[in-house]
Amino acid sequence: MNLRQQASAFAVHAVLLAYTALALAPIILVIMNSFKERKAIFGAPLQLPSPSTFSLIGYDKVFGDSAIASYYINSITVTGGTIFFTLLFGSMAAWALAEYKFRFNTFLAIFLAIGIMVPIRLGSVALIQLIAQLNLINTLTALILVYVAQNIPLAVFILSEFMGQIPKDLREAARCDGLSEYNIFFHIILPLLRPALATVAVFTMIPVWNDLWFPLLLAPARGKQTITLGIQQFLGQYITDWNSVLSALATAIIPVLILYVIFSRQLIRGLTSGAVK
Amino acid sequence: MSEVKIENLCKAYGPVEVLKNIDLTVEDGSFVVLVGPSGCGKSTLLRSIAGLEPITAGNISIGGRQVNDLPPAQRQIAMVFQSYALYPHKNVYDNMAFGLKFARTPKAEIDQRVSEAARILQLEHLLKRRPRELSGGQRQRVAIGRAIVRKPQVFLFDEPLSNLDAALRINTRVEIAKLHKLLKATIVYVTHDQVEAMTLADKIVVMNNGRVEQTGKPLDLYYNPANMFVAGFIGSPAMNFVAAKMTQKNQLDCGAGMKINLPLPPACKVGDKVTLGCRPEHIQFAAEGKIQLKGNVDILERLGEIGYAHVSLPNGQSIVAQITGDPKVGNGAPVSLALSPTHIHIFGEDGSVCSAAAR
Repeated sequence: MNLRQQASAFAVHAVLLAYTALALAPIILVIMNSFKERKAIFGAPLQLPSPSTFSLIGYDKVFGDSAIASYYINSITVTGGTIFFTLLFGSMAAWALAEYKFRFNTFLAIFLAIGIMVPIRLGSVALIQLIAQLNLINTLTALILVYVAQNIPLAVFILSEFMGQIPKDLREAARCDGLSEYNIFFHIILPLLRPALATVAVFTMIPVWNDLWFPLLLAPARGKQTITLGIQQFLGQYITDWNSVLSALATAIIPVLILYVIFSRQLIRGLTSGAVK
Repeated sequence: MSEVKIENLCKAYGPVEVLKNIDLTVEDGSFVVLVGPSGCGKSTLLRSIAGLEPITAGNISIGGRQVNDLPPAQRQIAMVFQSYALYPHKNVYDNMAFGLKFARTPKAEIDQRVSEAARILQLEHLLKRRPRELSGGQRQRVAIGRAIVRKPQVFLFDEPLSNLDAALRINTRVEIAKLHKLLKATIVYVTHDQVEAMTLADKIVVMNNGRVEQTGKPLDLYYNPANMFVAGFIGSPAMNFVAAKMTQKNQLDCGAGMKINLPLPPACKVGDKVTLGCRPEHIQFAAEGKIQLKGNVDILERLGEIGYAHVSLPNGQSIVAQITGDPKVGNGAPVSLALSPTHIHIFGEDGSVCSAAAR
């Protein structure tokens, strides 16, 4: 490696490291301070917990609160359900748009593209009315429905790009082998689409997990709150229980991290599994 | 009986006709090769037989059963694709067994059929591998194996050798010929390579522009091409064509003072513009002989036992003659060419043959 290449490699890594630090700093701050006493959080927020300032009071409170478990379950249900239905319906729609020629094909593709461009929150009022009329206010179903609608356009867009890369011969070979169109989709297309599905799952999962807007509007009742909404109870108008807030935030990272690890391994395995020829 | 009968088949994409009134019979157990340049419609014809392309008009029947509107799976065909189209996420065994599983074939029978195919194709030691762990030739054999296990009435091959390197292509070609003998299967095979067509086929169908130009046994097409297209397509290097004009009975004027005396078919009249065709292997360096052309050597290609001389004629046209051994001729040297009188083809102005020369 000559000097020039070394210099450019160094520059690239410097930029990447800077961004990594920028992205990770708040998370590290949250985790660090979640292990400290309340006084130490305010006295020296940037210091690591020391034996004199170390405290698990926040975690004690969080795990002592029985409602927290239900927030987790709600969040996991909503995120899991959203991922599942987004992937299922998104990939089916993408397959239909990519594979079959029918009259409204182009129209549907454009319609879905508009879904990517227009933020779903613009329709919040209409969505509340709709969900209210369906008698789904304060249900997790309402959240899943809205999130699936929010994520399907991008999912279809990404997946139909990937579908284009699956050789046409494969589908035709399967047709000659006597598979029905559903079997072709589930046994040939979906397995080959795994890396793309993992990508979409990651894109879908993180905003849904972190969302505060729709849980606040559609399911604010006790027992139906998601973790991001549930944590709000520690934030008071006059007093904020920072120990609990930070601990709850720190633990809220874990499930999404686990899901990410699962999907990203799929992603890497998919990329290395090799093409047809 | 697994005869394929195609009657008056037409296929159009909008206003573009890609297949025009195709009539073709593939006899039971025969090996028919569809050959032609790219875009001539041969693959479309094969895919129409397979049921992957809907047809615009006409009839296709397989084994006496009309299959026009049947999906591929019910036509009792098996297709081998150019890209092999193996399922990348399944191992060799599952690739071959996949279709059978969905047809609810009993497990024991699947096992038996797959191992039989694996034995024939020498794939037994590879059954647990994934397609990406196989070489090109092995993938090709798996693709054929997947066709065999279905026990189809007709095998359809779509340019199966074009992704293999030259040496492997010759090997696999022989393998396919052996397989045909062994299975006694009816095969329709598409290729653009006329050598594959000549070596494999019982019957060759030469296609051009969506039409069948000529159908016949390989050597029939070689010796008695019906028109200039077939004449130029079959045989390598291609047949030489020299433009000429009939000036008097049994005499052709090729321009620039080149006159050839030969018996011409009665259909030709004085004043007709014709094309004289003769294959390189029927032209020799020789000063004597009934039909003589003179020219200058442009380039000699020496291949060892034989070679090809590219000779430019006084009228500006260039022809290729086959040479044997190593004639000591330099570039630019004047040579005399003798055309074998029994191997001369005369084509009329419309490109169709006036008649093969008298034998």
